Amino acid sequence: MSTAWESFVAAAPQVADAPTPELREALARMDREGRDAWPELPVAAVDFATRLAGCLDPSTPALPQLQRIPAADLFLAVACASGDSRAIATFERTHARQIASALRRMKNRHLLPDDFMQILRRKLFVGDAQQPPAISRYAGQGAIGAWVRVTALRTALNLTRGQRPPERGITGDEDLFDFTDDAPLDPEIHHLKTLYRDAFRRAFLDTLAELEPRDKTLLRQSVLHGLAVQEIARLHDVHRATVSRWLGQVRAQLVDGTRRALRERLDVSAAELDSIMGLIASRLDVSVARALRPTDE
Amino acid sequence: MECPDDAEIVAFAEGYLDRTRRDEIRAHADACAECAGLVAEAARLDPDSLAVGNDAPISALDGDAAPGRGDVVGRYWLLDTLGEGGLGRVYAAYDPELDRKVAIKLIRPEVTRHLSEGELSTRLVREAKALAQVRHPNVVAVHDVGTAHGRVFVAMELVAGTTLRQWLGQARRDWSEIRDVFVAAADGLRAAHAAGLVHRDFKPGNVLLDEAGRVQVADFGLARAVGDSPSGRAAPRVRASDVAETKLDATITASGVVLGTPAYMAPEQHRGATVDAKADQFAFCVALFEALYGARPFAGETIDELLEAIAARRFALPARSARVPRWLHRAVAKGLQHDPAARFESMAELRAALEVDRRQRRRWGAALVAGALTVVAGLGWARALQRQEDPAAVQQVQSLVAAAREAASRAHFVYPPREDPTAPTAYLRVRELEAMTGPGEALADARALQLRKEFAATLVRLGDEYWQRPGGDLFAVDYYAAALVFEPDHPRAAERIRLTPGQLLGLADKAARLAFTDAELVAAAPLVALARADEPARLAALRALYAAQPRPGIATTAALETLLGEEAARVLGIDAAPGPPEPPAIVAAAPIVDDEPTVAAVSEARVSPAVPRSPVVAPRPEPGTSAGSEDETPESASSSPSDPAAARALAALGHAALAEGRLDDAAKAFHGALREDRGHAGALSGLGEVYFQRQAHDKAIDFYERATRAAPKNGSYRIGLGDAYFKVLRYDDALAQYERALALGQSRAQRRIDKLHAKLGTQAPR
Repeated sequence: MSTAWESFVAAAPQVADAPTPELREALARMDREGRDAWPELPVAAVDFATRLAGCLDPSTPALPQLQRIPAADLFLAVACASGDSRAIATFERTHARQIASALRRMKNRHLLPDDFMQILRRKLFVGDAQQPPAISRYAGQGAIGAWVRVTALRTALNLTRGQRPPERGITGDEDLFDFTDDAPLDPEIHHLKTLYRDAFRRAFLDTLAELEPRDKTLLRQSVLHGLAVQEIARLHDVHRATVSRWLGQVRAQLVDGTRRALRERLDVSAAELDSIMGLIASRLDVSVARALRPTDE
Repeated sequence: MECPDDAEIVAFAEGYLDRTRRDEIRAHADACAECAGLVAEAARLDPDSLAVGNDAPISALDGDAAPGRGDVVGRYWLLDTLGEGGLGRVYAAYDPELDRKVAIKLIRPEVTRHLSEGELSTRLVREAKALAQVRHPNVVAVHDVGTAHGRVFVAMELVAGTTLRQWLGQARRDWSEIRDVFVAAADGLRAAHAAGLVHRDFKPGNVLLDEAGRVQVADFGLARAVGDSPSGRAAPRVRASDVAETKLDATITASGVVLGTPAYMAPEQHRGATVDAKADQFAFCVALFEALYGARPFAGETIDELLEAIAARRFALPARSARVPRWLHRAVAKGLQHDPAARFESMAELRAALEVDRRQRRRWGAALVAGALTVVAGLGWARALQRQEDPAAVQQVQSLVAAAREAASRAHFVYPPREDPTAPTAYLRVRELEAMTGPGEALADARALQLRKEFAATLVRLGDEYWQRPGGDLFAVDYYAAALVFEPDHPRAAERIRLTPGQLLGLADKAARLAFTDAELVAAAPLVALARADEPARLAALRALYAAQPRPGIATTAALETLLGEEAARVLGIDAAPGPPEPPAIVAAAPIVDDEPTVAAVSEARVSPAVPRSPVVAPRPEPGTSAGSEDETPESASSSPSDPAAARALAALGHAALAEGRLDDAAKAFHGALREDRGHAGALSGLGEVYFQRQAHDKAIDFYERATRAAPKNGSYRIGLGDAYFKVLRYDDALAQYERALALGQSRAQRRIDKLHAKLGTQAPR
């Protein structure tokens, strides 16, 4: 019967080369943290240590990596991966809100929460012939809550498009346009949209197509995904004030470009165009607001 | 690249991946909508509060449990609990919008329960306005008042320090020390009174002293903002039963009305009469008396006893009677009069009475004292910062700062030297500072921010210097671009050159990874040379530039020649004649973007007075237009060397200017393009559009005709030409062009054809 430390050393090659007391201490601390967070869950110290070792990238030093792993999250994942029903119940209780929020953003009215939970549960904790339980792939890089949201969203995406392979990948700008365009909120806009539907659509999409990929990503993150400015800033490693300014520029580019393209396509006076563009600009704002609202109640 | 799996997406969003992988995933997410969505999901900070909005039920705020760390109130994220006040709990919180910490006072629901929702919000708006008016160094600023989850919150300046109560308890304070603090507090009260606000709950617990010793009065007017009875009804009198269980030194509320703190309340406030600044004066003097003598002026176990003592002017026996000067005691006693009319007229008067002893020395001493205080406060700050850091971290920060300055002093702000392309630049050092974690983090962040501003300012200064000089704008553009890397919001740099976010990100990315191509570094080399402050050094650096291979490109050389004058250029050995192969001029002019020439940078680089114009051939003047002013015709440029890449870039620039309605700029750019390539169809049609918009239809026709000759298969140009024909009533010609455009796939021609037929009364052949 080997100790947790021995299993850890055995499973992590770079530790085997240099087993320091600091590492040993870190391991003990993480084990303690996990147990303090979930005292009712039975996880063998050896299992936890082995899993921790598995999370390490052998090409870089172990200690800093170890220190960044959220011990309590990984502990729960290990417990769930062992199939312990109490652990799974705990997991669902703890992360129900995360899952629900990811699902809410799917805007899919046909996806019944109960069915979805069943499918997600199977994916997370049971797996199938090709895939081991997904929970066993959580490697402590980032909070488990975020990981669950991503997994839930991906599962929901896969379900909605009838199991198309995930590397389907590249889509056009239609999604952005759809978002800007769906559900008329007031009769006037509806009227204009039907009147100029094609021209507006093409003008908008042409303009979008000319945006830099990164600018488009910014727009998508803000409008379509409804990310807050500070969240976008985090993804781009810049300050949030910078993101605000960028977004302002991209939006201005979009509106100006649409205006120009629309003017090319339509035979309307400048004043009329102005009023149309005013409405379009306000629609962009509405879209942003909508993006921040719950979509599926 | 394959789509990353869930775990990697989370690792990306949370910053776990190394730089290379991070960049890969970022680029992938630019193209893959699904991954972009998943990344966004992972990046969400709090799914319930942020994404769903504040209407949704969230967390503890809706239940009975006390809200805590991580809960969201309005736009603020609660951090630690700072304390519990009479009205509610106070939290440190983070304001993501302004990126600062604030204090949030979350009012207990009982306090506002008597108000209807509408009443509450009207009142809040009104009070928030009033509170916002009071900006004074001795008043804790109120940033925001609002409701969240049915509770009122007040966002205030976060003061790191102690309350006056704690300060008094920490040590035995000399009367003059105490007096100074109270004088500052009196200034705060005075400022608020001037804005028409009454504090109504002044007490030592509501006065804060920060680390630098600044005194600030908190919770100003809060009592009125959230309490008070609706519709102007007088506040009810405090009955003993209301406060039977309440201590005399706690804020009390009755039926939701905030009444103040009994021990500090003026008799009229106890009675429930209208309260004005004199009640604050009374409370102030109770607090001052207490601070000076260690006991409150009026003794009493109950409110009735207290009131009786006040009415009888029966001061409690001072515990430390000895040290307080008689004049000071007299001033305090006057503020404690039962009858408001017998107190000082105003806080200003009271304040003067508190400083009687100084009046003589004041006049000449004021300036000195103020200066000394500033110095002391500054020292206090520096010490506070140092204290938090451990010495190793501080040293690390300092050495990084020094390294950044060193690189900057050699003008390697963003671009490394060409001969050593991996040498850390100033920008890289700043990024290293920003990436620091652990004990030195706060200091490193502060220093990095400071350096960013400093370097951006230096670069903008360089930009300004060259911007106005003939030939210098080419370099100014790059200095501005570099400044934007350090400070993407720098107003002048952002105004002078327009980089799209993507372009700027591209440049910053390259700068962060030192991923510049050799051509870019060659093009950037003059920036280093021109940053030298003294002329000989500058010239020597430039000479070295031309001694090495590859030499700077033709555009750079031309600009330098203009900048330095031909004589100097010859001395330097700058040979403007087109030499051996070199990077295309445009790329040399703007090493800013990945591979394509940037419209923005080119715009500033090429459409400049420094680029000599071709001889002007007098244009046909158009009545009522200004078309002739900056005009030249492309034929005149027939002999100039053709540069298709430059023509393309300039034409793109022209179209961009056109889209923004800058017709003059557009015309300049198009003419520039035609100088490089006289048959450039895009530039020809662009000029057609320019003249069309200026209603110079004949000229528009001229250019559009040439555009269609250059590109016969372009339907758009034919539509443009048709529109111009239409305007000069050449309907048949217009129709012919529209029909050809339609045949070329321009569906928008159909509408015009229909319109023409309608106009001509003919039937469109279908």
